[in-house]
Amino acid sequence: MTDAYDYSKPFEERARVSLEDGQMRGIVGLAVDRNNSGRARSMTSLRDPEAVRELGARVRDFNISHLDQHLERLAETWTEAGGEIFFAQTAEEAASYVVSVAKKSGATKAVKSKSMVTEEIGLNEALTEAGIEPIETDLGQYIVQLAGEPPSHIVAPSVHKSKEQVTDLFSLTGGEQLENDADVLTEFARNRQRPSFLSAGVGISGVNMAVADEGTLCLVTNEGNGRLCTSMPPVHIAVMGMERVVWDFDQLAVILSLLGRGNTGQKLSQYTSLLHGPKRSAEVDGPTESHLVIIDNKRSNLLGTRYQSALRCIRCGACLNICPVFRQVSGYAYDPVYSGPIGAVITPLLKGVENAGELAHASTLCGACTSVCPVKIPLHDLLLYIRQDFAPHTSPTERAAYKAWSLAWSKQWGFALTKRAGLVLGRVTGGRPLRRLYLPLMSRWTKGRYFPGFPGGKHRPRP
Amino acid sequence: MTSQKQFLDTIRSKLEGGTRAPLAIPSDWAPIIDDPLERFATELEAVHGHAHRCLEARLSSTVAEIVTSYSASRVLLTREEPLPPDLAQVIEGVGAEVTWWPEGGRDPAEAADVGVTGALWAVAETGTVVVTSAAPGGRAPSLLPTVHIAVVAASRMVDTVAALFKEIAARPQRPSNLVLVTGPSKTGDIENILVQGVHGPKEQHTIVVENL
Repeated sequence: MTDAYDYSKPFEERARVSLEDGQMRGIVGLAVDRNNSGRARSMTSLRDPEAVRELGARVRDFNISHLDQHLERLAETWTEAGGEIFFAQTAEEAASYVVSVAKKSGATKAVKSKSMVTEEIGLNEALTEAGIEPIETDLGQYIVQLAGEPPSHIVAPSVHKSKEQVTDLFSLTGGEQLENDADVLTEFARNRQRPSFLSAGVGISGVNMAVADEGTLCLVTNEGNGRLCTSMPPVHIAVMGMERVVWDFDQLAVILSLLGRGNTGQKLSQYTSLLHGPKRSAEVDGPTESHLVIIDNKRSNLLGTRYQSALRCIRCGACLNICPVFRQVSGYAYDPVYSGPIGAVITPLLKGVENAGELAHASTLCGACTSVCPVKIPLHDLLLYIRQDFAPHTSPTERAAYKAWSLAWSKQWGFALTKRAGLVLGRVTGGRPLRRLYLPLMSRWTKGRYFPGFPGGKHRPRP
Repeated sequence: MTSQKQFLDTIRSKLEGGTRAPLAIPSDWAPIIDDPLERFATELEAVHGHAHRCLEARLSSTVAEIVTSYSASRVLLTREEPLPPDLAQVIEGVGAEVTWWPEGGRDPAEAADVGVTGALWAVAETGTVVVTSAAPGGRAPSLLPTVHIAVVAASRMVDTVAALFKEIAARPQRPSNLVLVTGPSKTGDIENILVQGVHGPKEQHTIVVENL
């Protein structure tokens, strides 16, 4: 399947690969529906769900608008807790720091708990190059790693895979035919990975939220791999996007109440780990070194712009699950790592609108994403802004067509002329939609759409 | 290589001129819980955990009954509160071998069928218990065994996640790791089919001691 997704091709062509894969669309559709209804149900267990969403948005805005101060405090408190801290402006700086820490510890294997930011900085490739084997331990992430694919959903990386595909993959890995059964397959992963947790020299995790005033990192998992990665190896390295910070535990409680509900409809995920530096001298087990890597990687470009609210994101995946485009095209049609509506917003902002702005067109602008976002990011507004910023980079014909249209309708006679043309066309076509309309120079626009019928008659009666 | 100062200065310069949003968190945003003990049990069962209630006098036998139900042969115990002093004896009485954490280090924890630990708090809203890395407990006892049994005093029950974090913030001790455990380890990564016990315990029991 990997071969079919060529990221050098435009969105449209990648989306076609998914659209032609009926089985995958079925699996993805069922999965997102289940998460989506779970979210809707669990939100009602809050006393006033709308008020909590509003509060979540305010908590995130407060922290982003004080980001310099809060990160400075986090550096102090994390160091006081005995942890080490590294600030990385770029992806390369971050990856090479992680590699250098791993190398210094003498590790040959690194167990990883699912982290999108480590995908963003290409950490697995960097580790492999340095001779350290990265082992993904989240079941879904393990599946895509074995398949040689990037994750297709920020919360459920293997959401596009069928049980049969996993059976084939695991049977090949284990060298014996496994039963086509989710329990058997999960047990296979458990037995295969437990020894890795106990023998790896380094554990690498992401961070769901750092608590600035407490020197505490919060990490959420359902499988328990996050606990094992941060507890069993002698060295723990946590990697976080710089915006993922709250000030205190009161604020963390608000965000956690929205995070679990937003992704799978859980009031809390199974395991919420609060990590406060390395093992204390009086404690029996835990890592003796604890590193925190804080990454900018162009996030600061969003600060002080109309896109700043995108940094509120807590990566719950609610916008992916409800998006009518995502369920049809799945994660791979987007650029790697961040997919769905939030991906269509932040990918162009991190990679440059001129390079990835087309993603903002992978939306019907229905606003479903905005209506479910637990921290109320105005996603469809941001998608429109990106379209606006991307406009100068679109084809000259498209721009000329819009310019001509705008000029024509800015004059009364121009508007009247198009009205008349519409009347004539309506008479000619009998008001039926034009299914096969190929306008010269506009074929890219017309081939994916039915041109609506010209109804004829008048839009409004004459006075 | 970027220094911390450079990194933060970049952020500071971008934020300059913008408004620093104020924040006040209202005290009443969290759900209202009517009957915390009852709610705790309902929530824990809903996430496929098992909730038990007993008096202190019955605690050891309640643990032993759970151990017996799994035909467990190896049990790991910590010396955390509120585990009773006669617990090892009662468990050995039902034919299981007992190891006290951290004797023998991590291996006995990995080999154990059941790990029994104390818990600092329980949360009614979510069916959660909070385990700590602080001695005499540790990280492995609630994580490596196939079954985890947590024992918590009813007086340590808080209503909501919001209330729990107030307690955590107010407690002077800061262990390197607190974990909010909400039922057993689980996944839905293969076609959204729920499977218990991926990397953590396959079963999770919490015993609330009513008169403690």
